[in-house]
Amino acid sequence: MNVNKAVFVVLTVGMLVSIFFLVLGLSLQFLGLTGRGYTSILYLAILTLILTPIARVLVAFIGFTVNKDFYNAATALTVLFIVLISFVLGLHLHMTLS
Amino acid sequence: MEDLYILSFAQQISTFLFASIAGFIGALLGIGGGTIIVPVLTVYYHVSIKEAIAVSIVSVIATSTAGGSRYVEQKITNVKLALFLESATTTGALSGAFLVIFTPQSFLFLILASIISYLFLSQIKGIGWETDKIIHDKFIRVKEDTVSKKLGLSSKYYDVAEGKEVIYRVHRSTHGFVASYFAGIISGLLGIGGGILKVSFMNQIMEIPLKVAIATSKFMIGVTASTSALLYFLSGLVNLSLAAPIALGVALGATTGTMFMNRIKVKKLKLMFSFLLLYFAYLMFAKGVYLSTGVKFPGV
Repeated sequence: MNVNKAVFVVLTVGMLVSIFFLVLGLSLQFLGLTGRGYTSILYLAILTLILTPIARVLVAFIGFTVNKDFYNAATALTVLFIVLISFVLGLHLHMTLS
Repeated sequence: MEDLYILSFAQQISTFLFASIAGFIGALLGIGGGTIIVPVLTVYYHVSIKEAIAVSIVSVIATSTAGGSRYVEQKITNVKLALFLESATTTGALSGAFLVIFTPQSFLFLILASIISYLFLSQIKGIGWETDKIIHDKFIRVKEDTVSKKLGLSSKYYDVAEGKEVIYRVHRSTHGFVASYFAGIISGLLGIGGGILKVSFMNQIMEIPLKVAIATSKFMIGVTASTSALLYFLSGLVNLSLAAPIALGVALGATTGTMFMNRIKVKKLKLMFSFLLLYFAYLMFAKGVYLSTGVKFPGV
């Protein structure tokens, strides 16, 4: 499995999907339609954007594992693990503070 | 969830244009551009600082994804190196979140200002070296360390401006790892400077070609930003009508930037990056002074 290519595909698809929804949302706003549909479309666009970098780490992990390149698979897994911990801790801290 | 206003179409067009410029510069030099976006939003668009930071973090992801993917396609990005250093920066950012309670920001800004001043001096001093290293194949003469060998970090890229394939070996992986960990702490504490430190450490400590460092940093910054972006996003702090044109703008700017970066002579790129370092050093110094004494410098 070509990890670089897989990572490239994930980033490109994530970006294109996000751009599609961003343009769609802004077009709705231009037409004066700023209701629920508008908000949920932009919500989806930004969420796709935010999750794309995490998805490319996941895909790199899978790629390295398939290639039996376990050292690099381990670094990818470490990144995923830290991202997960940071997110859970951040959410916890956020809940306690608000 | 806070009630956020919807920007007018005219405001969106102007934010889009300015975001394109930020995205372009960010792609050329391997940075996220948060330090450009946050002040413009707060000063010219009267966005609250919290909201400006939230939107700027989302824009960092857009610029990293749009620019990063192009550099992977151009085979400049070193994906293995990126993941290796990401494990250090994300851990650093996590430690930074805990340290924020104990460390005064003014002190950190001043420390960062001195680190960046040092990086500026050493970058300026080495401006001629890199072209020499490319021409005389010196990047390949480096002796790989154990980590670099095990992970297979050494690689190559094609330098369009020099018209030459540059093969490089990676050494001082541990140094780079530790430096990235501290870079993660600092950017976790201050929310800025991630890209500029990553490029510097890869280029100046690990002696990786500048263009590879720029492309790899561009690729890396998205992951660190995504965790905090997700938190801001779920707290409803991301104004969608503001984030949308900015995300589109930086994506366009970054994509355009990636078409130019490899065509610029390394010497020029190094000079541009040095000036960026100088500007950052000034900015960090001014912020530190402002926070500790209340004296305001221009441009802060």
